[in-house]
Amino acid sequence: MKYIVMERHESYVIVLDEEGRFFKVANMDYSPGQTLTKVVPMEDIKAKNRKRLAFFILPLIIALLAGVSLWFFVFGGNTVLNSGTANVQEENHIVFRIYLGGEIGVVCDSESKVVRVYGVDEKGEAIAEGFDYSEMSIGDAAVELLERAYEIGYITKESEIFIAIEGEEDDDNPVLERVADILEDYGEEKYDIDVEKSSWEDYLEDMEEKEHNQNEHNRD
Amino acid sequence: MADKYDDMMELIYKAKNNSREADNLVRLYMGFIKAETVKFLGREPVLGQDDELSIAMIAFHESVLDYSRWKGSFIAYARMHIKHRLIDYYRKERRHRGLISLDTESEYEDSPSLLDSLEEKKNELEEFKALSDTRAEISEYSSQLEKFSVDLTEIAENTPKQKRTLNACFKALEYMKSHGSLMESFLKTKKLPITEIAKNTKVDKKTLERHRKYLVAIVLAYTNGYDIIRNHIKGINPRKEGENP
Repeated sequence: MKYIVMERHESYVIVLDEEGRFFKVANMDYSPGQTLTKVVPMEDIKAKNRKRLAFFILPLIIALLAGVSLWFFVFGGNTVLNSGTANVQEENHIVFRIYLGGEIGVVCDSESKVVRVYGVDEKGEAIAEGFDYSEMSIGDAAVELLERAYEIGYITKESEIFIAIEGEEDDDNPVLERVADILEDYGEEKYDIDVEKSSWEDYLEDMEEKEHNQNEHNRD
Repeated sequence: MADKYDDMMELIYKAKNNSREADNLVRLYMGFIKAETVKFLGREPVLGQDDELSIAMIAFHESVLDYSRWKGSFIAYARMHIKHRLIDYYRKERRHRGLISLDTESEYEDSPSLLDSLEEKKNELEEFKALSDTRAEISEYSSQLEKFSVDLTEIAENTPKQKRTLNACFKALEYMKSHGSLMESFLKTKKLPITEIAKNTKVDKKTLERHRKYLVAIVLAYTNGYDIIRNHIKGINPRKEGENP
């Protein structure tokens, strides 16, 4: 691979590779216009922080949440149960929304195990009907649901599927990224399907747009 | 003491989002960066000769970008990161030490080096001219980018990491290239017709919007006058997604 030096800074230079990517590499006294064959790329701090969150902080938070819920049930059980345990339990859950031609909600516990699957719309209900998710992780369940949607014919080759976590502000939540990656690896390899992960707000906008397009289509 | 600490914090936080401020900070802390390199090398590093000094400089910059107050003293944090980066670099370099460089001198006097024996001696004048032409083209390209309110640092940060997204951007580029009127309008209005591209290429609009700065850069490279940059870009190799250079 060859790289052209595009801009020089004190500690790094911007290079352009032969695939059309621009990135920062260590400045070994390079000057613009030079062609390089070996570079030392600058660390992607944002990606590093995301990984750090996924591997260190997230398990810690999950463990803390598990500890807190255990404490509630063992010590404060009776009083808390009477004043709305359902809410306490719900708070530990993550609700995924997946659009596979039909919309589906997948509720997971703090260990990413599926505890409930339901259809949000009619097609979603058809996909979720009779689905046995016992002891299933969210990744496996998402892949199974994709297969079901494909079998029914709600998605075809080169379709686009959407995924988000209810109420999540960003699209770089590590759990969401992990599930989207699993879906993407499987869907892209097998059916050339695109997976679009997004924030909750963007997801709702996408769904609104889809509904609007569908209405237009039906009207025509 | 507290004022000095606050000043330093201000400089660090400014440098996180501004490449010029970051350059200033690296210059300001050059003594510290050199001292850390001396500790590692056991001798004075020579700028332009010792790669270790360059690695220490980029490690310092990475520390600035990664630092937050809860990580404790910045200097201690940067010192640790520089040390780790230098060790990592040394390990990687050691793997290649058994290889013979093409620049290796022959053991016989007056004999050409390996590289010389493989290649004809290049015309230095031609090389100088090619470098000057490339520099002129890059300079023109950068100043054009400024007119589109983007700079190369922002573009590098906005470049897609995933092959799939890079492919999507190239799909958008192909669409622009095949529609001359859109190219003209892009140069005139300094705006990309994202909605139209998304509609006609089936690339997700959000993907294009997220990588707008990169798209501007790559589309601009395919307008008239950037032959060297264009010829350098050979397209995407079918290698594993997300693979780093």
